[in-house]
Amino acid sequence: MNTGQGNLGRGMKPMRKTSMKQTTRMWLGLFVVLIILSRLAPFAVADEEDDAPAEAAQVNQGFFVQEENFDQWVFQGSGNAAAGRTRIKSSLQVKLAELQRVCNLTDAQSRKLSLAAQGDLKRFFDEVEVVRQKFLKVRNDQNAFNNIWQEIHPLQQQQQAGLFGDTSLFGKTIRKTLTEEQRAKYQSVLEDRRRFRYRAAIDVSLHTLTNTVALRNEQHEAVFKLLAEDTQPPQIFGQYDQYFVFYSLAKLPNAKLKPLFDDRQWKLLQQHLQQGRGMESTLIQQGMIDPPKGRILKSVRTLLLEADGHSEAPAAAKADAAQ
Amino acid sequence: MKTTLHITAGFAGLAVCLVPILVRAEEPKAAVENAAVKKEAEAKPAQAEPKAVKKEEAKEADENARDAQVNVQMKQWEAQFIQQYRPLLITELNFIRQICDLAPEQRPKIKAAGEASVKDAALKMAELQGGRVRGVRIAKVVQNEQPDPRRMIREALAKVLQETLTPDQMAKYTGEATQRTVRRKRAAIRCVVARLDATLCLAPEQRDKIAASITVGWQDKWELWLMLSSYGDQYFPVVPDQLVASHLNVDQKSVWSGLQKVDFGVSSGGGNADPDDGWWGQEPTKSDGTIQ
Repeated sequence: MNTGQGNLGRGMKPMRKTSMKQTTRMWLGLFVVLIILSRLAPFAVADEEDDAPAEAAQVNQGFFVQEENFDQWVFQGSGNAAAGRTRIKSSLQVKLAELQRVCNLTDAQSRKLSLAAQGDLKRFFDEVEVVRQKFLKVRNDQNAFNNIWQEIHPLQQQQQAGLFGDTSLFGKTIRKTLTEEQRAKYQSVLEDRRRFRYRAAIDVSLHTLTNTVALRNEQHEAVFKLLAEDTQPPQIFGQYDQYFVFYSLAKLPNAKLKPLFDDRQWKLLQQHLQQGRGMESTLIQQGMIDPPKGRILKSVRTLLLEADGHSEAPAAAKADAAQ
Repeated sequence: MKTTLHITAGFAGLAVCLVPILVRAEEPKAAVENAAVKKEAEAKPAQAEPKAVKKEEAKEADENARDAQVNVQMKQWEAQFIQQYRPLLITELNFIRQICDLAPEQRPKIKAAGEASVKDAALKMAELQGGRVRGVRIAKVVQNEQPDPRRMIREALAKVLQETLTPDQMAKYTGEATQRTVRRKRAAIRCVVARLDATLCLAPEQRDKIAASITVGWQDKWELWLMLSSYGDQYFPVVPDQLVASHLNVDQKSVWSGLQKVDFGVSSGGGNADPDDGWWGQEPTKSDGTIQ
């Protein structure tokens, strides 16, 4: 018993000693760990405090763009998508009304044209929705947002330029649907509009010219007449109209132009003529004039059509050239 | 006994560890409370008199420094506006030179008056801008009537021409200047109507009616519409609605109302051939009293 107890006792004693030692070590260990933790704790708290805003700043830095802004950018001047849609539809109605007025469209023709226009509308609004979804994903991330802007901007331009131009389904359907007689009538209206706008462009350009080359009234009217009668309007109009007029002026034979100016005026005129000549390649790129024959130079429009994978690009380009 | 000791030591250890954590946890609360107390103290008007005086002095010094800064800036603006408006003068001088067959002795006075008008216009514009920066309240009417440099230059030149030209020269100038004004007006109106036509598919009679309406309601500042083409097809000038909308159908009105319209403000632009090739001569100094 003793042995047993002793053993047990012996066994117990060392066991108790071990247990005591272990407990002491455990407490000491816990103590040390807690001390270390208590020292680390403030830093941990401080780190947490520092990291949280830093992380938040990384995500958006308070950057957030409302969805309304998207609509205002795409539908500039309309304020929201609904108003934008209404305006685009109105501009379609304006075109259809003119076609009706000029060409007396049949019901079938009207339907075809409306359908084509609906296609253009759908294509545009589908694109808007695709870009909108992308926008919604990145509207609180400034870096990603800068990229999405590059997709918003073309929509904005497209909307501003009008969805029913020459390259639209509507434009192509007009060419295919109208009878020859209707086409001639419609063409005459468009030609009249081009001439009217060209005369306005000449007027504005001569105003600019007069700032440097002061012209007497009779000189002004003579130059205006020469330009209006002896030169052709550009194929399309835009912000380079004035350069087109100077280009056209430079193309006129000196024999016709020079007698209209005195020596000083002629000298001052040269800078405008040079400016006009220097713009030739830009005017070609803008689709305002055709490239000189024999040169292979594609218009921006043809390139865009090809890039879009439109197989009828060459045909459209030919049709343009024919117009 | 030993066990008790161990337990006590353990609790002591725990307490040592937990105290800094708890204190740390209380810090934000304390900071918030401190901030609140501080804010409250700041919100109360300064109670101590000397502090208020010091504050006043500091404010005055701030205002003086800001004033000096604005004055420097105004000088810079003035110089910029002179550069910006000079082409307008060049346009006018080119026109006068072409039309009036000036004698050499007539030229310097005209040019000097023109130069003075550019400086005057630039100064007025700089003063207006300076006033805005200073936060000076400007009567609404004055605010809407920005100095029109083009007009100021033309009026100053008209005055000096009246004094300098012979009746024959003046008649020639007046005739040509009137025609030029008519041409500018015609160009500005055509320019806008052509753009409207392209956008709204106007019928020829609508074009005529809108052009006629604008002609009747014409304001000189609309000459700035001539800048329209340089903005591409994106913008329209602010044409009063009643001059356009009454001639449109429902769909055209809808498109018209949605167009982005901008006010072109004060124009620059103008001639770029410097007329100062010696032809205009130098104005004699006032002391010698002779005409070159």
